[in-house]
Amino acid sequence: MIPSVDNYQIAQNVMNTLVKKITRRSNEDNAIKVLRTVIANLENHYDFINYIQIVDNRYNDDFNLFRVDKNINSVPSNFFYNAINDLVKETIVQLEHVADYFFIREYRDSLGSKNEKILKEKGLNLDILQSNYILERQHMVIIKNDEVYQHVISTLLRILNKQFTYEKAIITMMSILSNLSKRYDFLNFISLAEIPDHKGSFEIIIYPDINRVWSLQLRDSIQAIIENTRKHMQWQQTIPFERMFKKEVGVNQVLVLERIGIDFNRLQYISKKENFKEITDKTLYAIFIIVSRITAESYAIASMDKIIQQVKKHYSFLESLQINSSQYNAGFNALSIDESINNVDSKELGHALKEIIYYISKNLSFQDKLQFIELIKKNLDNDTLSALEHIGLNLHILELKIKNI
Amino acid sequence: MSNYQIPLIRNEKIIYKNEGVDMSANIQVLIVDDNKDILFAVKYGLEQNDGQYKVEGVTNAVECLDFIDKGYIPDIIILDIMMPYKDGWELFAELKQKPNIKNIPIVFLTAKVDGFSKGFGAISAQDYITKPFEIEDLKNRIELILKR
Repeated sequence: MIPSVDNYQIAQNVMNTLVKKITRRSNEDNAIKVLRTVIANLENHYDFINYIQIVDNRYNDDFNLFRVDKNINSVPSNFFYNAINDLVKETIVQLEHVADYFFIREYRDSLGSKNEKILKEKGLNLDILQSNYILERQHMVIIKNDEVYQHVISTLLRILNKQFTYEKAIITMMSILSNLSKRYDFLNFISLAEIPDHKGSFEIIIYPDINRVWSLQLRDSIQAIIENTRKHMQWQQTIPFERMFKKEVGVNQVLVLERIGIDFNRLQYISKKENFKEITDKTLYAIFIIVSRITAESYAIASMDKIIQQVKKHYSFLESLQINSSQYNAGFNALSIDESINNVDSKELGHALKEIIYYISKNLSFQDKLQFIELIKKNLDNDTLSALEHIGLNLHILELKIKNI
Repeated sequence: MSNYQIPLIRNEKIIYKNEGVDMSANIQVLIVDDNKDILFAVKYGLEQNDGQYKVEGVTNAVECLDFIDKGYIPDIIILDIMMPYKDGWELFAELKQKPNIKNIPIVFLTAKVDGFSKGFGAISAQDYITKPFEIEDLKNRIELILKR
């Protein structure tokens, strides 16, 4: 019978083992550097990874290079073990030549059989990880980012072309890549150019520099390209867009995409659940209620107008939000949200809402900041909180970040 | 620069509004506060010495809006928050709806010292000053805001 161990204990143990193994192969400075990079890279995919903080306490009595927040126990098991899996994998990638086949074996031995059993039951089989590691190393040679982008973009162009003319499909894809290049600058290595002597025909040109892009960035950018294409098409068909994509791209490519971490279930979940207009409306209303209870409804909406104007400088899609500045007396009714907000990139919206919250709370004291976040959570229903997490705004993590500032 | 307390002199005969506004002063200040002692202290404190300031005082939102609607445009507005009929928050929003006033800086000058009021007040207002205050400090903050 496997003893019950919580996320906190597992995270402590895994981190302890990783620190020990990395330090043994290099030094403490390198362990701090590598683990900080690993956590930063995983942050985009698992917000709660911030419950693990890399700290340099070498010169204090409680020698430790990391700190795990007990709130990690609130993370659902499946998310937690996926993150631990990726944490180990990403550490290996970051260690490059320092890690080898034996790193995983040593790591497994250090974990101890009890913890290894627990990880195995939760789906993190270190034997398989060790075999996968060898395969992945081979794949690093076989799979090239440029080929992945080539397959994904040409497939999406074919799907776009089912609904749009060829020219419009090309223009749409160009626009998606151009918009996303603000977040993933390496997408500038991809262009769609007219083939000389074949007027009206285009080819995908990808510069080899793109092969230097990290796997997590590759994964995130591809997910964003797929998600944005679906939005541009305003997909209404019975068959989910993601399933259509999988069918068009072919089984072999689906395997490759899954191997680099594309989560088709998550993409499908977002497309089913999302109604960004509603999420935005509910979140802004929660903020409005909190501010107006302390001040007045008209002041609260006037303040939100000012904040949205500021945040718009970074997120132009917030033009979809309009507050009538001659109608502050109408309170929240002065705000209107255009349907076009449903077409924005989910993560961008998450970032923009996060910035609005930061902006409002920036003049609050430490305790009031925490209370403000707590009040937002109380004013939102569970579905909206969960939807916000899916677009990258995890209020629990925001609280944690404030605590760590 | 030394800070000093302004003596609070009650003088009910002083009329603070609509009394032939002197537009020749460099900085026109409009203060809205239901406490006449505060109005007097600010007027006395800012106007003394070099005549750089001209302060107009009104005791509530209605008088303030009336004053504005008659065409008075100050360089800066100082608002109390806790006032009868319409509080400073509401008056703030109402002033910001007026096209000729919306870009005029507004400062809260209030006895509300709780963290949320201060934090939310600082979102839209140019400054949030709590009572009791030093007139020199108020003067410095006004100058800083107007320089921006």
